[in-house]
Amino acid sequence: MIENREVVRISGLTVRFGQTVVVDSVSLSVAAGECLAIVGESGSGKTLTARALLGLLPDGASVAVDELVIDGVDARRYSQRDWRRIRGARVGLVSQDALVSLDPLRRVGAEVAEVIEIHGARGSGERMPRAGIVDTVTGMLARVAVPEPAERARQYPHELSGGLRQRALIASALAGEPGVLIADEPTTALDVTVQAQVLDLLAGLRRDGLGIVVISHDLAVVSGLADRVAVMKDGRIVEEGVTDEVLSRPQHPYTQMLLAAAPRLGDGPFADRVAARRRSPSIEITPGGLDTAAGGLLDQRESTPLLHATGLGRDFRRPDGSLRSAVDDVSLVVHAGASIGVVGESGSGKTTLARLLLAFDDPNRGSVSLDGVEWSGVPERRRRSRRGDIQLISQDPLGSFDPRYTVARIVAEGLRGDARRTSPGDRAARIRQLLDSVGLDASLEGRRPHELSGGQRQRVAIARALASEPRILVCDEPVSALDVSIQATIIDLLNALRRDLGVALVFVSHDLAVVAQLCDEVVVMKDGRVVESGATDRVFRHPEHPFTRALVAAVPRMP
Amino acid sequence: MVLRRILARVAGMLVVVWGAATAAFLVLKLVPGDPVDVMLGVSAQASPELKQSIRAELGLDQPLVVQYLSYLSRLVRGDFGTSYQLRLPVTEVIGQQLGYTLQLAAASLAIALVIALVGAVLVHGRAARGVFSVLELLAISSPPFWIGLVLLSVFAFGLGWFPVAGADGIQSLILPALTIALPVAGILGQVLRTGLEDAEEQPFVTSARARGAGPARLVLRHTLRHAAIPALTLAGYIVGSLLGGAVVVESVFARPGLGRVALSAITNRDLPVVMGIIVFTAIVFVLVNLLVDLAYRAIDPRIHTPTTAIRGAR
Repeated sequence: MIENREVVRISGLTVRFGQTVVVDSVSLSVAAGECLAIVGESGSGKTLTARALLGLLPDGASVAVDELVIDGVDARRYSQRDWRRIRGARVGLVSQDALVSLDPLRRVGAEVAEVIEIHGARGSGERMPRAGIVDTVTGMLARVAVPEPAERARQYPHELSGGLRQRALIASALAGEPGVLIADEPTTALDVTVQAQVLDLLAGLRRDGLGIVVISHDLAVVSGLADRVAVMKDGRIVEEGVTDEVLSRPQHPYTQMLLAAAPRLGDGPFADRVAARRRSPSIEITPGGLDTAAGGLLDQRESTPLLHATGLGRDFRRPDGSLRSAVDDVSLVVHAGASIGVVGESGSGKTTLARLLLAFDDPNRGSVSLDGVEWSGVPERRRRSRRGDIQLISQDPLGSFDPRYTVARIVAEGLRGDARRTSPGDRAARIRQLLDSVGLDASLEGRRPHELSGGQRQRVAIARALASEPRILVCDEPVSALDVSIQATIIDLLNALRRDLGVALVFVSHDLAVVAQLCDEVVVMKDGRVVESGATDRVFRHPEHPFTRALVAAVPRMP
Repeated sequence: MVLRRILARVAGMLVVVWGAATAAFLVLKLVPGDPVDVMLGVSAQASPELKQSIRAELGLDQPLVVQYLSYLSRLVRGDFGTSYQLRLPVTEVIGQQLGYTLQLAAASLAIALVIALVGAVLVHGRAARGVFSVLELLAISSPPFWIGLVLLSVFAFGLGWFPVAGADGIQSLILPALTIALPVAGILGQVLRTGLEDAEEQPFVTSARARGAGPARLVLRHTLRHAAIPALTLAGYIVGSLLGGAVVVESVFARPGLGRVALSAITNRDLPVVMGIIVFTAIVFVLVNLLVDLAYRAIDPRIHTPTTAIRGAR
């Protein structure tokens, strides 16, 4: 291994779409055995920068660059044909979700073999015989720690678990033995425990001399992997340096903001800051503005629970006819004004539980009562008038909006019958009040969903949910699709709603750090069952169940 | 498990054929007019006694239920009855003509596939797609008899490249096949092209390009299979077009074939032949659907994989 051999060197990279500059004179370099992280929020130009390293910019992009050296070759004046010669052979790409980044109709082995079929044997470039390709593919899968590689090679992507799929995708990028690997959000679609394994794998590859450029929105995820970090904003690198330096002594205000906004888990000053935020959200909401009986509710806290689920079970039939319990023997008590987090990995039954609580689905076993009255297993027509009491906020508000409706009309949809029948003037005033309570300007009333930013959309969704004066909000991954800075403001908003209106929160999330910021109690789910529950601080600081311990340990932490 | 699924499938196919046979029987019984009069011809002077004896011989004097049951039991034995007009067993009538129509259908399908594939692969994602989509729309919306007449007047009467009528070798097959193929190629090309374009938006294409795959490899190894899935759903429509097209085209080009037999059987109220063709068509559709399902499974592994494999992989 040659130390410090540069595998990527670009300077003055500028990408334009028409007159709009989306990447602005970016310069960076990566040595063999080094990992550079490019971190930024959506629209920062980080992905386009990565794609430029493969010559894979979208149509309509125009590129200007002073220096562009990839694994020893000058690619400045490359045509598409030239690029095809080095893609896979000198530079490989790993993208976010292997379920769609591997061709779902082809066997995993065929995808890994493709590079070798295109480029031939490494070094000679000669066509490899079929048996040689099969051996190389098996070896490659073994190298990324896929168990039973020969068998896995004959399977299809959907037959592998998320972690194995991502490893297979990495194998397919490495099969041509490139000098540099571009990893674009390589772990974002994965559960935390699997994410930790894939990050370990990448770190091992780096030690073996691979140059890695990792693109991420999450500073914590890359902090353990990257030697250096470049922070991008609006197409520019605003700060670059050794990872520890940037994280412990951020110079640029944007980096400082990113670090402050990132939700964190664990001890130390950050935990205190988190606790402080929970105690005093930066927004004030006056209950007078919204006519709820919030004051009274808080007093009843110890009496009747608002939502009471006992022994819930929900089974689904597998295609082969056997039964699988998505939710099994789950009990949950939600008092007025409480905040309960439901955490677990994908497939643990979190969303099925949320649907049962909302009575979108009826349980096979157990029951749910709302305000002491039967809520599950009764005809929908008897639930309809009470639906306003419990509302859903989903991960993707855009999908829950009629794209032709204006913001005002979307919020008006949430009003209950009597509020709908008031005079148009009163109704307009009420809508303005609701928008104001989620921190949206009245001038947005006439906009349509696609004209809003991600954070504004989630606020509109919350305003619509509040329109019926609910006593419980069930939030299913409400901030997972948002940038960290936006995420922080939505969490503040939910905290304020809870404190000032006494709305109870049931908060479903895979992100422990977000739950830690928002919830007093937490329920940990695995394979449809609750494995641990209790006060959030206790559960996350002193987890008892081995699964909770593994979950907490896998959460990426800043140094 | 697998055996049960196959049995259920076969039972379903039989139900469809039975339904078609029953519907054909009922509809033709509801049509006014006496089939015996039709058999004898308009000008025939037959005594009522003779008519009655013919009726008795054909079982037409029996109650409807008895007629229906004997019709079904004959169907099961493969006996479709005897044509009133041709005085031949219906199976023989269909058998004689089937070859011509199969030839025509196969040629049409081949031409349509080639036009659609070449068109879709060449123009997808390019500026030329605009021109192509207009041509596709034109082909889809033109009635086959009109396409046939235009082709006839240009290539047969005008340029004299092809014979005007008949079924004599490849030469005489080209224009009729093209007439049926053009609308089919139009809709198939549209579906394939949008399928290719949709597939090219998928992340796995970026992965393949990042491995150095060129445009030809992308289409052949990746996107065409994805585009074939929506195209397969058109199979029923295409078979319908081929059979329906045969009726029109065999008349326009004066070719023998099943379509012409069907047309003349309907106009002459030759009920056994009409029913025979209806049941035959139902069988064709049922078989095509089976083939399409098998093709889906062959193309898309996500359809039939048992979940045990998924669990085994974790």
